[in-house]
Amino acid sequence: MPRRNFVEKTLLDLAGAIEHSVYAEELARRSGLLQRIDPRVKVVVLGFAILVAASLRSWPTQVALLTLLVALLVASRIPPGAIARLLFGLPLFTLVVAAPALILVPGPELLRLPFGLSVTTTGAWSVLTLLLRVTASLAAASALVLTTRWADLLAALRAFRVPLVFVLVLAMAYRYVFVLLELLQDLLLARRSRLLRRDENTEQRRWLSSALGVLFQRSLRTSEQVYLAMAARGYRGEPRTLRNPSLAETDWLALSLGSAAFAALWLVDLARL
Amino acid sequence: MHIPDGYISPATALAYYGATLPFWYVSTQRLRSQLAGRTVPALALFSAFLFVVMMFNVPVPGGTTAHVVGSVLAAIVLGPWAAVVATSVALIVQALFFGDGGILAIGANCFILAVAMPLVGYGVFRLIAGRSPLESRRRLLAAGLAGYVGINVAALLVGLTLGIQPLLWSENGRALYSPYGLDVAVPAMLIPHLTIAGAAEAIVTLTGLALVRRLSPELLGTTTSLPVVAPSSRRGLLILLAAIIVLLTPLGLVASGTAWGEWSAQELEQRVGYVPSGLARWEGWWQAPLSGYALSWLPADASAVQQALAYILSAIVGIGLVSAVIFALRLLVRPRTPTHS
Repeated sequence: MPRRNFVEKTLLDLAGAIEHSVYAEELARRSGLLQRIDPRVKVVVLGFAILVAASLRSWPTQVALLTLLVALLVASRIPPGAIARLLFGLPLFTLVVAAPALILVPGPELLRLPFGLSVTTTGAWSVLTLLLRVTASLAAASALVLTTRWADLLAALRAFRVPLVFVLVLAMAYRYVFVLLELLQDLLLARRSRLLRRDENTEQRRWLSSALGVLFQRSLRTSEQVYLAMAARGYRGEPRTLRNPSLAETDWLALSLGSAAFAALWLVDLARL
Repeated sequence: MHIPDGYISPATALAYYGATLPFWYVSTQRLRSQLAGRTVPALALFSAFLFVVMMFNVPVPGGTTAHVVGSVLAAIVLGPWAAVVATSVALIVQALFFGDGGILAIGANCFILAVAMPLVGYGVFRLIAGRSPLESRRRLLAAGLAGYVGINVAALLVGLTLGIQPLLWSENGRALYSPYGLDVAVPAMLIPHLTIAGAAEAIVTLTGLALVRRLSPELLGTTTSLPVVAPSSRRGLLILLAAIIVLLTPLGLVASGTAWGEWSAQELEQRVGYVPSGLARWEGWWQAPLSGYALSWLPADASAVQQALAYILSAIVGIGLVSAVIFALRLLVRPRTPTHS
């Protein structure tokens, strides 16, 4: 089988990105535990969880945090398969990247390997710590991102006084990412369907640069049109969402319980020293 | 290239947020006055464009492909400030929606790829392009080289950031974050970027500029609706400043990072041979809340029951603290809600 060229690779990446976002939006609409909680609360509590995940130093607290977060994901009706894919992808990559550290980190010998090398206990602990940390951080981030719709997340950012210009740019960038992704997909598909033989590297690069140019021109022109359309519709500049602006009692409960649980884990970890 | 969460310590991540914020502030302020009402749609579309550029698999001589960042191209075509904001937004969308790069690490990734890379690249471009005419070949070569230097500066910064982690955050020889020291992390980042990824970045920057020059020459001339390319001595000064800050960043990280841990000052002295002067000032500030906890909870000869009690006590204290904070927060938030309706 011939090696995939850049057209195929890019097409696959594009399809993956679009599929991911559609799936994420679908998950965020389900009626699970986290979906019912106000996005502002989720940003605070799960943002705190990310910080705690980055700070824990002992494996029992790391495992406890990971368990808690996976339980939250399950309670939010994220399918186990999706959780597994999510939580094994990056950690698996991390394992590959970190594997040499088993030998490279100096320390007492744990296991003797051929060629005078040996796995050290400190090396093994380092890799385990990193793996647990990466997985827990990812679980916390997914719990926030997969259960919150983009518009709600932006409204939450706005509630925390993130400058309006920034939130608006984020909102629109996300929208137009898909317009441009589809345009690029069309360009690539059109090229692939006209291709009979494998093209040369230089030819590929020439085509690539013209695709880049088309995309760039299109984004310039679109930005102008979008601005005019916004101005014509009385653009005043506050993103709107149908969420209730005041927090319900359950939101306060979630805020207290969630932060307390993560804070408790952190303090237990600190007290261990 | 994007640093995921868990590879760097919170202290490093927060230091990077601190370093990035002023650049975000300055660039949005500048763009707001330059682009007037068009700021939002223009930046949004540039960000979306850069996001798509990051998805390209660029064919590199030799048969493989590599991803590019594109922020140097953005800096040359749109101006350095637009490049800072647009790349940052593209990176944030990637982190939040596609899990590329961590959320805590957004500050680090933005500083490296959206501040250091475009500003250094732009500096290199201006240096080499000089006053050469807009349609000269020299400008294209300058762009290619700028992309190459930019991506490698970024790779070096990532290598340094990861490399200082085991130096500063280890416990009894066990690395708490990325386990590789500078001797491994820096070459591991630089070698692929000096070759494959650097070539891809150079190709995209060069051909991108060539294309824009042919298709939208008005963008690069002086009579542009986006006057972000017009040179000025003040901008040159700012870029120089930015470059100096970029060069100093590793030092700054060492200085502020040391303060975080009770354990790392001596270790740093052993390994580096000196303790940064910032240490003395910051040490007291951080140690008070952190090591105060850790030492007073548990005497060295604590029994199992005492330990368990300490754990429970700390959990209760945590719950109490958090409840107090939330109560205060509630008082703060409540009065604001009626103004909404």
